[in-house]
Amino acid sequence: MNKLSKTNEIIPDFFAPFAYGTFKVSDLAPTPAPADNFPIPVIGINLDPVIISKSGTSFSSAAIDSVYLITHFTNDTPCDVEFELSFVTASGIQIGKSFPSGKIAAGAKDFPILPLFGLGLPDQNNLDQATDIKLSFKLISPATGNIVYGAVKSNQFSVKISFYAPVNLQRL
Amino acid sequence: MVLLLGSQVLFAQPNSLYFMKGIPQTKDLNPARPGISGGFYFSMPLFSKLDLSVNTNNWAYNDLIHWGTGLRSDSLVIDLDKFRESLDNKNFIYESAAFTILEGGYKKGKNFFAVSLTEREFTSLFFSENLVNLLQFGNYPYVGQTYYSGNGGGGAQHYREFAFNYSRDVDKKLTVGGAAKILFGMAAVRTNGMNFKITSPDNGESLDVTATGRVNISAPVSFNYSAFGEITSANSLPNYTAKDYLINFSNPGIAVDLGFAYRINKKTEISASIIDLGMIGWKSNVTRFTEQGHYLYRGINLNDSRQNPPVIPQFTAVIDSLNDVISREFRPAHSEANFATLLPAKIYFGIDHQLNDIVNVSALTRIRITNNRIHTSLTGSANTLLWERLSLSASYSMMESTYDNLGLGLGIRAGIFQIYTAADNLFSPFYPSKARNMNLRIGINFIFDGKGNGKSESWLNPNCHCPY
Repeated sequence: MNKLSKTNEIIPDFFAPFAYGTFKVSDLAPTPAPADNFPIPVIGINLDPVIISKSGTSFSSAAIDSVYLITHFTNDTPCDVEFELSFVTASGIQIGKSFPSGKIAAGAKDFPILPLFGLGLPDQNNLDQATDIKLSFKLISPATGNIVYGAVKSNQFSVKISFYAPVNLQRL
Repeated sequence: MVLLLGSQVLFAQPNSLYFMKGIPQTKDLNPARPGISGGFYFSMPLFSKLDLSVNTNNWAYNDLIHWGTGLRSDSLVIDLDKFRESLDNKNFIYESAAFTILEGGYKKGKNFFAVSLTEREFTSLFFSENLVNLLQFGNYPYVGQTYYSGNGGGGAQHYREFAFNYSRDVDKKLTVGGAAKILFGMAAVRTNGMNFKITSPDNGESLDVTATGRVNISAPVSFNYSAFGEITSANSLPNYTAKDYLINFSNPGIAVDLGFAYRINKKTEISASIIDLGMIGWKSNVTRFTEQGHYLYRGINLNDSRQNPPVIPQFTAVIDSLNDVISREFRPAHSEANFATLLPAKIYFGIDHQLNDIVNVSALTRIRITNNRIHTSLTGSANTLLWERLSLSASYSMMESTYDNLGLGLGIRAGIFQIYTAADNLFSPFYPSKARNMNLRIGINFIFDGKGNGKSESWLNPNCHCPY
């Protein structure tokens, strides 16, 4: 087996769905909730983030140098939406960089976020140090006209995140 | 034919043995061709004959693992590219060994009788190229389509064979023969239809995994299960000794060999045989595992629809729960069910022509079926018996798409003592890492037929259907 210690690398790309969710705008409305006649500003309104606790779970492996997140977004609101993924501590302090989606147009169905969110080794280390994964959403008034909060609050959007990772089998 | 088509595994003695002259064990490949024209023989007790065979469908160990180049020239490398290039859609590796403890035969006039006791084992492993693709490339390239693993699996058997041969010279041209074999299985493992498929849509929102298959086991092993039926451990049966294993007669089976040899004219003979047409019923210490698993995996649900606002779960708990669900979805059902295994049947067609007083030239086709695929090999050989003492056979074979099989058969007699050996690929033992086909037969006989002293002329007797 020692003679295989310098063997060439076998690095298949393994893929799996990671997480999915559908969120109603009013469920993520900031406190206090805007009035129904509150116009959604062009610069956008931040919704309450979705925080996923990852304490006790490690996402790193010696066999994986990089992970690519594949995100599809369905925007069933009349507003444009921006989505951002980041890693935070229990006190809410961000660790490392965030991964913004860019603007997702109103009505977009299964919209692929490109480029893929690539998590290199530093990002994986940041994820390991973080206690939570934070998904932030921003509602933005579309260029076509003003939208008030009351017209949006019952709408929802959904996000599906999967990933693929080149896995170095020799390092498993 | 059903039995033949159902054979999942194969093993073979060297084709080179079929036309060898003066070797009684040619009857093993065609019971109508006993290599003795009169008298009796018995083989060396406890070492009558040994058959070893390993073959693949034209891929070799060296295709998968070989010395590297450049910085890796001092190291072995795993070369999946080269390995895949050598594979077919369906692939196998097969190993077998047979050890005859005792054998004896008698020929008088037109009738030939023989009995033998042989221990046989074989192991097979089969897999699809798709499985190697998954290992090398992962499942990401299959997003947006369905990945099929193809059938994989294997089997292994150990059984004891009591064989009773009989052949008769019907007339000057025709000899017919057969063998009835009583079998006793010792242990077996056999898989059926083991495969899985993975489907994922273009957006990668789910993995739809289906796995099916069955494993039958007859062995002195007990399995322990969790409350959910998952296998937690496997242990050998308490108080089950090697003696218990070797005198196990609870798994009976039966098989037959049939063959004929017909002399078209004074110089040319055609022959055909079917070998090991039979089965074993496994009844002792049997366990059957049946898998019919299906799971649609969509990842972790980020919101609990029962609560408002959404409650985000902790990953640890979700992943643990997911592990439990998946392992239970793919938990094979177990039962104690008897099962049957077919023997690896072979069909031989041969033609033998006496070129001159010394040399015969021959051609042989062997047909075997494994994993529902027909495997045909062709062997051409030149055979001679010199001074009644030295049996020689030189052969060339095309086997499993390999064309480098130069074989040799050699038998030497000194009085009643005879030792013989045959192999279809002479070079494989010297380059095992590159070998696709390796087989070897070696045996020792004591022949009491008044020959072997170089004085008899009976080997030129045209009425003799024995191959000399």
